[in-house]
Amino acid sequence: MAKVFAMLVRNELLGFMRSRSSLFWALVFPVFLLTVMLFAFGHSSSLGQVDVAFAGAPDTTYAQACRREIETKLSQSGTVQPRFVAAGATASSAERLTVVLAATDGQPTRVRYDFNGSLGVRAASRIVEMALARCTAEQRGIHTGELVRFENSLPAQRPFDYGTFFATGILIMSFMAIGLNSTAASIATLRERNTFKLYVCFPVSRMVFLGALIAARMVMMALSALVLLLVARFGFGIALPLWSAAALRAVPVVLLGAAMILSFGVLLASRAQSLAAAELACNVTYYPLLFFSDLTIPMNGAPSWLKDGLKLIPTNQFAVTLRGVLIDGAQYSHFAIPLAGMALSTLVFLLIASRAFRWHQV
Amino acid sequence: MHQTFLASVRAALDPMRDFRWPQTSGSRRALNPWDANCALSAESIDVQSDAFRFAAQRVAFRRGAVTAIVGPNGAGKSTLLETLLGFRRGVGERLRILDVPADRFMRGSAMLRRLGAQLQRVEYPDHAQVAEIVALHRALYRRQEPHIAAALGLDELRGRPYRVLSKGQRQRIDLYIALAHQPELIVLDEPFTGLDKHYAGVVTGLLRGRPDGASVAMICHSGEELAAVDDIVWVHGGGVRYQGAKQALKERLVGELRGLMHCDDQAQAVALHERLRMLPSVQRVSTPQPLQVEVFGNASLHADVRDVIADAGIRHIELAPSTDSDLLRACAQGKHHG
Repeated sequence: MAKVFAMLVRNELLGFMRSRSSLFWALVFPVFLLTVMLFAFGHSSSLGQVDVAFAGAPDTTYAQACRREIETKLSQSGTVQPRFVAAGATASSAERLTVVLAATDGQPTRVRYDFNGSLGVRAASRIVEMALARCTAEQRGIHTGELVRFENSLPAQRPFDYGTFFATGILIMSFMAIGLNSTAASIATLRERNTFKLYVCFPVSRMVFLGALIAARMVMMALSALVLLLVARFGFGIALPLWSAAALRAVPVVLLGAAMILSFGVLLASRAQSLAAAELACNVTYYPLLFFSDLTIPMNGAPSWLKDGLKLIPTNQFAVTLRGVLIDGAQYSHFAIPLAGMALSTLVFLLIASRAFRWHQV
Repeated sequence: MHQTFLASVRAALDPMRDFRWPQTSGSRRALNPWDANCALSAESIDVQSDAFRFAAQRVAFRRGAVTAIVGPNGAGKSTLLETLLGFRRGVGERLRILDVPADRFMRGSAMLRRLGAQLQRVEYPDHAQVAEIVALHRALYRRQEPHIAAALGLDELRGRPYRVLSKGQRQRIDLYIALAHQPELIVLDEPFTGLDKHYAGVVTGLLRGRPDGASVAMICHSGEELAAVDDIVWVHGGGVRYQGAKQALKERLVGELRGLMHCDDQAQAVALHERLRMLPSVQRVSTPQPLQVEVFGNASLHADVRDVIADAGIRHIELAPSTDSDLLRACAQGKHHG
């Protein structure tokens, strides 16, 4: 039986490798999505990079002081990532801010940018305005000192990092694509084509065939995770602690999450009469889970009542636990409830699937 | 021939009355479903779904024989076969496969190595390669007869993906999976579907050349398929109409000889039909096509028919021995003939 099982797993994996569609969705699309999301939102919690150019540059004390103040405040700001460029004749872009300094404080400094541009360039313009106000006050002999002190109300919470957020969220998304959609589709297809009916006549338990299908998908998940995390770490420089104790502690969480998603995929396919029915069931569950599980759309701004409800979603529990253990380095005990939720969900899915599973259409 | 006047009257009023279960051929005793000589058996079967109902009592397939399940489309042939294999729960009583309770047989690896199945409308996964399917068979059954691979032309298919094969090529693969390990019981659901004449002959040869004692249960739709058949299970009208030797059923339904006459007009056809029915050598008269009259009967049929057609002025007639194809047509038509 072991030989047959290994052969079946190998055949499933070979089928996966032969399918360009499967390779794309499992290996290429997660990287592509990560790339797009990072381009849209940037790596850290900043609003992205902004090109800042100084035009005119009159050689006065006021202008030089203001320029220094602007450069300092922009560089110290965590809101945008400034890149100081030469004021060339290039056309203005959505990420470019041009400061035309006035020679004296009696004249307005012009700040030129695309009013319909990105949030980053608009935020940078406000930082320039505040820097100019401070500089002008200093030049007039008004020492502002420390007007505002910003204090973190939740110092224990790590700074939000889009890079790690998207990397872990897209990882779970690719698990869902493989464990949910691919698994359910494969099982439904085998049933629709009466292949399971033939397997019943073979001298090996039909659970071996089902087990091989699931085992192959776990390998696909591992491969997808490996590709995504390596690209995230070494391609985009996202601070993922892949070679740390936290990463080792994250492995059981990933395995539990994968098992949970796979068991859900088997459940969805357990009674599907056709591939179309299985796809409908998958779509009805996949997209809501995608949007409400805090995978690629941050839910930290959602109402508290919604956030409390989302904590019950197994994939949300998976995301929270994975980020906590891998990124924050927390212990399992901090996530006892979501871990228990994931384990319970897995057991429930498996129990229902085992009772409801139909090997062939009657 | 009906030996009494009363039997003749009964036969004229209800020709199919003699063929209801239990019925055996000649002197062969009826098979007992608990008999170890049964390859497949059931005490009773009762399947209902929507408007379909299939019920049968004491179904038994003789061990060591090739048994064909025949009948019109939708009669329940596949239902019967699947029920006997235990695919449908709760619809059969005392189902046995090779003298083992069916549910136990279908769960034991050692038992299942004694079974070879080719089922209808079954497809392997799209990504499967023929070589992988063959290798899986070898791992499952630990035995593959090389002459079967050669006979079915497997070498030319080995390096190809399953999804690009034609219907006939897929059928050859499916038959290989069912036959290559030389099982004791071979279950085939329309094994000749999609095969060309060459491979249809090959499969007939493989069935004839099967190991001694091996049993075959197969669903047939063509005369060529019946060439290697010993017994018939005739499914019609929601049940089993006949179980027994093929030859006996053939003699009862279509006799030894057949005649086909082409008439000039409808009046001539009707008149001819009535005259032929009265002949003592005639067992059955039918109208397969407009202006055609077909007749089946015993060894005296052709002589009797020649006399009739001379009077009737029939100019086009075909006389030949009755064939397995005629038997299948009669089984498909059931009561609705003549």
